[in-house]
Amino acid sequence: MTVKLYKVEAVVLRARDCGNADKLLILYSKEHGKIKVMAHGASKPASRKRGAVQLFSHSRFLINSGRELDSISQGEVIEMFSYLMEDLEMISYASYLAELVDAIAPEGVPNGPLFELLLTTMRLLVAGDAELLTRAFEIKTIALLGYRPSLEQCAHCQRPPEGRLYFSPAIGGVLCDTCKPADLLALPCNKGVVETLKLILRWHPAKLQQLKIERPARNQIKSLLYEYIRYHLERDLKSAAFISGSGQVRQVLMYKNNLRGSK
Amino acid sequence: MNYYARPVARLIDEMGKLPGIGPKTAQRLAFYLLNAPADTALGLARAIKEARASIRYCTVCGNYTDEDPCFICRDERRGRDVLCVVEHPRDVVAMEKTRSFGGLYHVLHGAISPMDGIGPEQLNIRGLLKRLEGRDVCEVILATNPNVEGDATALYLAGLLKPLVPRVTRIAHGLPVGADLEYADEVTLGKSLEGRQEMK
Repeated sequence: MTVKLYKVEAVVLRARDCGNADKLLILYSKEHGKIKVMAHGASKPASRKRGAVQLFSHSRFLINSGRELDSISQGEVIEMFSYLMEDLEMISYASYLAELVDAIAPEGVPNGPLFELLLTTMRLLVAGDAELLTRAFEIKTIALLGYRPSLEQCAHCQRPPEGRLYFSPAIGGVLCDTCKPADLLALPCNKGVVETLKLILRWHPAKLQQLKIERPARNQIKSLLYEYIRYHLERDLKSAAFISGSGQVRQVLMYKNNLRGSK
Repeated sequence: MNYYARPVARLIDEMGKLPGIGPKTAQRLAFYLLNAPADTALGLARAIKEARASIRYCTVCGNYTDEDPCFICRDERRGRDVLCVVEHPRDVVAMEKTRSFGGLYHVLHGAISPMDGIGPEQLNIRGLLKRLEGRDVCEVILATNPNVEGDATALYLAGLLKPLVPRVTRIAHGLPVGADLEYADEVTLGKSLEGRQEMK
């Protein structure tokens, strides 16, 4: 019997305990896109794979192809992103990026630019504006996977959008005032927001720090993109709710600590 | 087609619901129980029934117990000023096996996991805060697992507890006893370097 081995460079999107010390991993690899593999004995203290299979790790794996499920033979960490683990909010954002890729990327289809985008965004999260980086990641990811929303012209009549603007997840982009009846559920938006969406789609994530976006516009961009993603996924992402929750948790903690300090 | 008498089929079916038990193992276990002395099979049935009926959560620490509070919380010899926070009841057993900890425990029953939608409100954190109110606890040890979920939980708890307790600590990360440096993974080795200690 011949054992088929192959090498991948991948980011761990999900690690689930399975059996005694085994872990079922979902990886996003440069070579094969999203793949599901088993890491036997990865939870044992003496396992050499343990570091490489941790959530969000960027690692190099040697994988044994199996009849039903492939299994990890060796693993070596390239980048651990351990600085992300020092902040609950960063953990939430990184979880959201991983959950989004897991939910939206098809299995076994490589997409080099998406792999690079994931790594770049993870690297920039701590130093940059995590919220804006996540928005850029969302729109770039959906564009890379072929779901790019129409921003330059009305998604319905194909003319340059004028007057009051709307955003329709179902029709796939911006709607002009005349075409609004085509989707009664279209969300209101404005020219400024559409221009910002075009910018964050075009700019490299590292350049986003230069952008100054006010809170109301940020909230609008967040809800437009989230509704667009939700329309295509047909479900919610659990960590998205957690990000808003962790923001609230942080505010509550700060408030409580201030109260205690003032007593 | 039905290959088994109805009670045997039901036994195999119930065995197959246990974690890690496939249809073949379920069949083997069921036939073992049928062939075993009556005491063995009925003893198992009684043990399951008794455990299910009598075990509940300790109202103080959240661990499994048949008497409330549990035997650890009742033990007068244990220090009441140090609390060790763990994710699961099985972690209490692991810590107790070390015989190095003489304080009390608090079981969270899980860890914060954004991807699974498990937030702080789903964990036994309210009970922990209630326990700390008006008590002279001088240290809380966060013994959550050294993974993303465990780290997230420890970070959250540290933020919450630091203003309430003089000392909030996290268990060390590093090499297991008897391990070989050559075979250690890079992350563990890095963590053990970070947490190095001066020789006494």
